[in-house]
Amino acid sequence: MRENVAGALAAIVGPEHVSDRWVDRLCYSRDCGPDKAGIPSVVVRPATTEEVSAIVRWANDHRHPLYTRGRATTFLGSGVKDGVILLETTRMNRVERIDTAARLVVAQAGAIWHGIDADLRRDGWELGVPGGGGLFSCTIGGTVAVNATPHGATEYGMTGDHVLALEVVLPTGDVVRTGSWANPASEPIERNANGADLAGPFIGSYGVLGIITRVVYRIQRIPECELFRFYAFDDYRDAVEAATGIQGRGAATFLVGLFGGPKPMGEEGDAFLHVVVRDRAVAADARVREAEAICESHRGRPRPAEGTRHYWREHMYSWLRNTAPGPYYSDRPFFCPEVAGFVSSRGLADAVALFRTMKAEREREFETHGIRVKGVDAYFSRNGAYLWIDTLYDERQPDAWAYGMQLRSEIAERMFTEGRMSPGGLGAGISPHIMPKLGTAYGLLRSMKRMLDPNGILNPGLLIDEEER
Amino acid sequence: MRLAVYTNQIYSCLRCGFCFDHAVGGQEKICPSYVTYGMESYGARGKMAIARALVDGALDYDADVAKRVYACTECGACEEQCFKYLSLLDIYRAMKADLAERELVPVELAGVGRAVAAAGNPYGQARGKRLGWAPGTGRVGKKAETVLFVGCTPAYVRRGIARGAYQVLEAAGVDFALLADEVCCGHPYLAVGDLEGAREAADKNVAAIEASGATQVVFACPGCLQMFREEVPDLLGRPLPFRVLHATELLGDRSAIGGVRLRKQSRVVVYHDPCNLGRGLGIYDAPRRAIDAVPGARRVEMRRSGAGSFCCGNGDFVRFGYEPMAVENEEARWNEAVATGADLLLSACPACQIAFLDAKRRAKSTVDVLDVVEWLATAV
Repeated sequence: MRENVAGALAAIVGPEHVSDRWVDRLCYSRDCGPDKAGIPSVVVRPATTEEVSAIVRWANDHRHPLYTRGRATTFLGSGVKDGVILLETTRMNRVERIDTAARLVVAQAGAIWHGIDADLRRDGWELGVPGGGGLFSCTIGGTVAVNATPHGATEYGMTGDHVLALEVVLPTGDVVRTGSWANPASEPIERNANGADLAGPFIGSYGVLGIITRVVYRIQRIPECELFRFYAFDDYRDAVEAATGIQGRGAATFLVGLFGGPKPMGEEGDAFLHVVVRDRAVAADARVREAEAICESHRGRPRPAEGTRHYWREHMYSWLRNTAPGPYYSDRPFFCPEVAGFVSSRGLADAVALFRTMKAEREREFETHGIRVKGVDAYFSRNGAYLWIDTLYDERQPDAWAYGMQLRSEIAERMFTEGRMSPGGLGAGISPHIMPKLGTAYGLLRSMKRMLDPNGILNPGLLIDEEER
Repeated sequence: MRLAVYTNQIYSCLRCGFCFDHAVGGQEKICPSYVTYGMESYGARGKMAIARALVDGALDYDADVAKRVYACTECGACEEQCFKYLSLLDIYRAMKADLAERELVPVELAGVGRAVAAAGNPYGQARGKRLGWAPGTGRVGKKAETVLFVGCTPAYVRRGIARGAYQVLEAAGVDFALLADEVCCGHPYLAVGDLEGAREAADKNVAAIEASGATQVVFACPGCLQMFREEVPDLLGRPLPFRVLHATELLGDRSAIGGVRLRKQSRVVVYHDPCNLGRGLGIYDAPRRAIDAVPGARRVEMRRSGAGSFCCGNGDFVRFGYEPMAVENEEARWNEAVATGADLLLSACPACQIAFLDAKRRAKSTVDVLDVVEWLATAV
């Protein structure tokens, strides 16, 4: 059977882009997160939409489950199962069009997000959410498919907000283009053209409804000025209030709050706020002064903002804690069963308090299993906060891994109920804890899945329990 | 299993994928092996997944593993980008050593090791011809402060480099000697995973240099230099009793060598950082200073240079077993060089030079290809 699958796929993409060798397949299992995953039976690497369509059509005809992945840099579990076809998109990495007049870029799904940004930066432009929400070498298709929460979310919003159009291969192999791109005579300039927002269901749905093959994304000029501030607070509730005030005034492009985990190097306090302002010079100056005033009115103490600047420019998490990546990351076999989601700005204080209580209750267990808290941090969005609770376990210790997984479940259950949190990132690790709580919304997603993917071939088990489907 | 020593690091790989692309620099892939073969198993993240499976006992070394592990130029681009600062090259070498112990070295590469064992060089050339390029025998085996360690490729294949280094040192008035019994530095042994062979070669060369009374050894081949500076002390379990440096480090930015001003060279020059010299040893500026010292030369840079330089695709003798990979990547790098508008491509590594001459021949290009010391010799 496996030979037949590999042979059929090789006929579509060429034998050099298909492998059923064990040594190749084992490399397409786990992602950056802690979740163990299955081993695909075949790996296939298409280069074009037409090839993706042919592969999906074949899989659908043969009722063969198929998982899609870009760079697999999610922490939330892509949920690959044993025996599936693994379709990897990174050969589809062309940046096909940069149109500064229409303020858009057209890229194949496997183009590296930061790479697109780098191409744009050469001419003074950047993606609508610069730096991307995904991490590391994420692809644009993957980042949109998970609707990652980006840097700059306070002003720029979510990754999905800047999608102008998508090209998607449906589970039948049919290819659909959304928004104004649906009209072959038109340009991909407006997501909301031609009726219903057909891009929406594919954004954040982890490829369970279709495979994104092209993304048309909004671009913007790089602002002329970037200013950075960093504040320490002796009470986390003051930091939350300050951030809420800044949000209300539109005084910052990006706010990152630190409410747990190690204190930034050389700093004292209970919570910390990184402030990034990007704008024309005069406006940036006015906004940053407003942010300063708000922080100081909430008893914030201004501190050196070099770490803030590095974090914005390099997108390296360690800088949030004033630490260069080298000493922070090197040689540490720790993995992170992350729980993350949206809360209202004012609800954030309650969510932080809830986690602090949970942690205090488990002090001895944390010690026994060597669990560390890497961070209880928040990206402030336009009207709320994306809070992520990162615990770390030692990958070498099976008991620690098991406890880390159990801890993630407990945190997720309580945060999604008592903490009033709605996850931004789902993935295989988190979705079982939240999807059943969504009632008719979950039912609607299941109905859409049944309608679009009647044979259940795309990313089965991810977001939607296979039995419930 | 030698690999087990690195278990902690293997478990630390976050699978972030920085090792595939310049994540913040563009779409270009940084790993020659991954460029050509595409499957993750040929890139660093994949090799770390393989290493994890090996130390976990989920996989045994076999020909499939060998095929992927040896398809590596050891250019170090993955290690340069590694988010977790892992010693990836050490891990690859441990895998190679394990594979060699299990007699799983791909047959073409195993031939390299056998040639060194038989003839003292990877090309199977006669030992007696090793100094056939030298202008005379006056410096052979004499006592001197400095030894010029020639290396196999300059000695047998790219003799212009050997002659260039000789002429430049002579013009600079350096008191130097050539070893009468120089043998391969041992780098090819490491490339195939034969640590014992590498140790024997190191032992012979160090003994010969000690006998010469030299206090410093100058290299024109960065592979040999890296071998001496980084590997030989570990192999022999003691520090080197002499200083080792690249020819361009010795010359620095002298605008005159031996009291004679360098001749004007009206060339647009682009310099390719050899992986061993650049990422391997951190020597980026010395060759550039030497080039800039030549009057009339205008140096330009490729899109990817310095620590972000792209490999010529020919490191670690991969050409012997993976020619399509060598050809594809040397052409990619050649095209980057030509795109600068330079009329002279300089490198500081004989393997890079061979690669670029190959690419030049196929492109029927008029852009010249030389080693830095070869070119400096024309200006003396």
